[in-house]
Amino acid sequence: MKIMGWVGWWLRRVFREGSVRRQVDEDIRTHIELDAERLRSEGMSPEDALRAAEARFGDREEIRRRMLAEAGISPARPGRVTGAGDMATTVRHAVRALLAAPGATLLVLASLATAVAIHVLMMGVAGQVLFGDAGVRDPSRVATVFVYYPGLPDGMHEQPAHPRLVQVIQDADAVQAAAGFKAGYFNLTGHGHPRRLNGMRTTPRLFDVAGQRPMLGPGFADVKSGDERVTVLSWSLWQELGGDPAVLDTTIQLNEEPYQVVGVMPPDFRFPRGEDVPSTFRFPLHPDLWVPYALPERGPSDLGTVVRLRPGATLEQLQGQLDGALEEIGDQLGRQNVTFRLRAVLMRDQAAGRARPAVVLLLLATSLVLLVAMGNVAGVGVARGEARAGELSVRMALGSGRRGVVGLILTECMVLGFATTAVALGLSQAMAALIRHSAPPGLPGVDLVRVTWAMAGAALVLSMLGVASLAVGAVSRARGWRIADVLRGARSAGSRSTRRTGLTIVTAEVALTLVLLSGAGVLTRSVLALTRVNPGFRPDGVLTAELTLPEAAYPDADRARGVQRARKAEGAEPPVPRFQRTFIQRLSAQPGVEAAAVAYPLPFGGGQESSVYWIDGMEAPDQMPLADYTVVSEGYFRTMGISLLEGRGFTSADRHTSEPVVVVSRSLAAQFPGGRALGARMKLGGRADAPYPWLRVVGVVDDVKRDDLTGPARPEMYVHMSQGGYTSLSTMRLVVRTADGLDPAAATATVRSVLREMDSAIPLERVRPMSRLLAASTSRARYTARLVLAFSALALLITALGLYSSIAYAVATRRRELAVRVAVGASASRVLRTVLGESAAALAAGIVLGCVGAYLASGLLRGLVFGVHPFEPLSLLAAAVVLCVAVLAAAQGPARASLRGDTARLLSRD
Amino acid sequence: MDLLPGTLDLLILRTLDDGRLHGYAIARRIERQSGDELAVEQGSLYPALYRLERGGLVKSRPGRSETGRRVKTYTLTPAGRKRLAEEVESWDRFAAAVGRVVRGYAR
Repeated sequence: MKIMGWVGWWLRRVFREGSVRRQVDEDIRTHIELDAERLRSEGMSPEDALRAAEARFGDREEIRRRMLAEAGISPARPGRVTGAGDMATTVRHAVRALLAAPGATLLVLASLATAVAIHVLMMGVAGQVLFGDAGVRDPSRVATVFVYYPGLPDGMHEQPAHPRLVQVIQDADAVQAAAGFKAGYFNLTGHGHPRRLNGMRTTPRLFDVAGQRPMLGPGFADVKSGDERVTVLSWSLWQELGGDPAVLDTTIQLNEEPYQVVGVMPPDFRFPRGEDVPSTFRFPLHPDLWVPYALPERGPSDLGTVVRLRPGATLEQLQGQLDGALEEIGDQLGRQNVTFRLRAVLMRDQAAGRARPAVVLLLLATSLVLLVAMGNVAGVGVARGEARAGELSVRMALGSGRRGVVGLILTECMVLGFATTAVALGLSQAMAALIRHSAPPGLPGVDLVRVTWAMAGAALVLSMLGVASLAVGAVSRARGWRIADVLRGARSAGSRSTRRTGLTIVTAEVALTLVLLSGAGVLTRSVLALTRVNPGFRPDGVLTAELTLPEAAYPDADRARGVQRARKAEGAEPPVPRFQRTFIQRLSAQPGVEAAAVAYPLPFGGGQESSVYWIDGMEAPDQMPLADYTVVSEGYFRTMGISLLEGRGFTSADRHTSEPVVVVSRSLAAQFPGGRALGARMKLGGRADAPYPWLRVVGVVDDVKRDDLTGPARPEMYVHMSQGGYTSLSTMRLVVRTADGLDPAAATATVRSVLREMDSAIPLERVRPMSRLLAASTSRARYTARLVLAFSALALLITALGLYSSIAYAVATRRRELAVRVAVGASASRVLRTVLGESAAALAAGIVLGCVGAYLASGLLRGLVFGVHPFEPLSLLAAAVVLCVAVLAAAQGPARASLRGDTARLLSRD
Repeated sequence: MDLLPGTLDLLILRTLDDGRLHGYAIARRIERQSGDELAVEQGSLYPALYRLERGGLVKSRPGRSETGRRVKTYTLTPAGRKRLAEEVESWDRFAAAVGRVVRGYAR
């Protein structure tokens, strides 16, 4: 309340000031004119009367100044009498006072503005990542529904839905609109280089689920059957195609077929995103375009589902209705135990879930930095208030009153607060651009982060809070300013309590910084542990790329028909394997290429295929046996550097006409009876009579991590592309191992020229060294570690500066005492010990507190670290050492300055 | 001649004891009553008036001068009247004390 009172008084004063100045000028003018009138009436000429009256009045400026001082207003230049002018004058005074202590001002401005900037920015990131809506209206009513298999191994529970289940979901009462969708890749031709687009094949009501209409065109409103060749473009794709509104009713060539453009979505609309469905689905992150899709009667379970709840309907109601519907289905099928469930999750929770721990951690880290910066500012405030005691008590003695002095300090703080806000906003603007471009994938919406009005407001509030600590620090010193004491130089009592306050602040800063530093240490060690994990293949020297063969020229049986394809093991080789085989043969013959192969999916290349299987002679297991499933060409193991443990790899003799064979990974081989896989038989499908051919095991290879370095490798089976009938072969990943010592990127031109020779309409996409794909999988962990490291470095810097200034201050106020000590023969080291002793105690206390804090904060790191305990003594110790070194280094300068005092001069100053 | 510190306040309070006056009138009256012995800078009256008003010893309100100009007029507050009584008493004692000393020397 007291502070509010002061602020109110300060505002009134600012606006009262103008009227007081006007009153003073009027009083003076009236007096002189009345006197001149009287003198004229006594017979003087008007000019003489005026001159005499002015002379009798005295020194007009001096009197004016005294009158203003009596009224509690600091005298200013004459001539400005308007309210705004006085406000400007007040501000100018404050600015001048701030510039008079450039070091302190710069320290406050730089540390506080940086801390505010990163905190506000992280608030923006958190807002986008945790609450971003991807352009969806009313996102709290949008849910994603997926199939949940309690029987599958960890990390595989969540699976896409069968078309019939999408129908069931659509029919639930709580659902207002629903859409089933799946990823579809489209080769765009006719606009420069052929390129591959992330498409979303979706039932037409997707945009109703999003509550969003196309910016241009009718969208899918006119779609009837669902398989029309029409498409809605994303805003960014539309921009790339020229951004012409006349794009409507034109056609674009997708997979060599004309699609009519029927809509353009607004900017920032990117629904459904990869993050909106479970990670096991492996959907592309952002769709470039949408194409209608008719829900088939039968088909593979490969559909994501999103729904919009009816107004008033809850997620729980939807879940209840889905459970009920599944029970009915179970009854109809005469099977009591349907092995899966349907689970509904609010899309927002789904998207934010995976990123939440990291974002919360980063938000906490920036708040700690902010607290450290605020501590510093308060410390500066205390020291400055003390240092200015002389100036301020003189002002008070001259009649400014305590309120006048406090008002002056408040004005300075306000000015500093606004300056801090401005600098912070500029900084966060620049850093937002940096974050948009440097953030790893998996933080949904982070590319949309920009400085908003809400963030600007937060920056203002935080800056003002920060400088408020300055004001509190300064004003707390305002008690007991007595001019006599100050003029006598009797400041030691005040200085001692000031020093104590300063040391308390240093202790708190050290503790907070230690928490940050040790967290950064743990995260860094975790990243180091990640880089040491053996993925099961040799990524160096391998180039990867993605090849998508147009369906029209290279028809490929859909995976639904895979069964037939596998059975029909005669006739000519199908076009896709024939093309790939020729392509890799020609590529392998090129200079600089050691080996080449194609595969799908590729480890760390996105995409995942897995299947239940059956081993000939196995006993019925409790849990459905599931293995990853990879289609490869011959030469794959050699190209990737995967060790062959037993038997053989694939050769060019493995054809669609030869016996179907399989290569299994070490952990899958362990599932075979007696662990003897070689020569045994297995098949797809979870039972012996599944309608798939038996596959003979011809080789065993080492385990390979597929998409996550932190987890154990999953069992895996490899089949040859000529015999693999399960997945679509249209999109395959190319891997090329370059000859010794050659940069993989250098092989790009070779690959392109060989491909162009064979078919110039086939795009080569996502050309990347394997090592980069691997690095991308740990990018979020590395990014988090790097940010926390940067934040703790900042906190360290701020703490060191804070300690520097507090010691400098202590030395300045104790200069006379220290000079006496030197004069009476104290050794240099003894004086240094006196000066540093208090700071060392504060440092030690801070480290103890920081250890406790680090222990409490370690819970937040759990789940974010790999291969290292979240509370780790070594990191803590390293952090403490770094902190001590930095802080003591900062203390050296001012401490040594204490030895340089000129004793005689200092002692004779009274 | 110079005034002793605090004397001007006393003079103003004493002058206002006779009734409501504006600033210029106060100055004129002090000038006349002191027989021009105390011909101070007239302007220095105003800081003193402001100080007295802030201290709650006098209060002001808008009024008119004899010639019809808009001016600020002052009267004593009860606190001002009390202070005047104290000041007059202490002045008397002070003047008497000074007088004794000065006469002592003169003798």
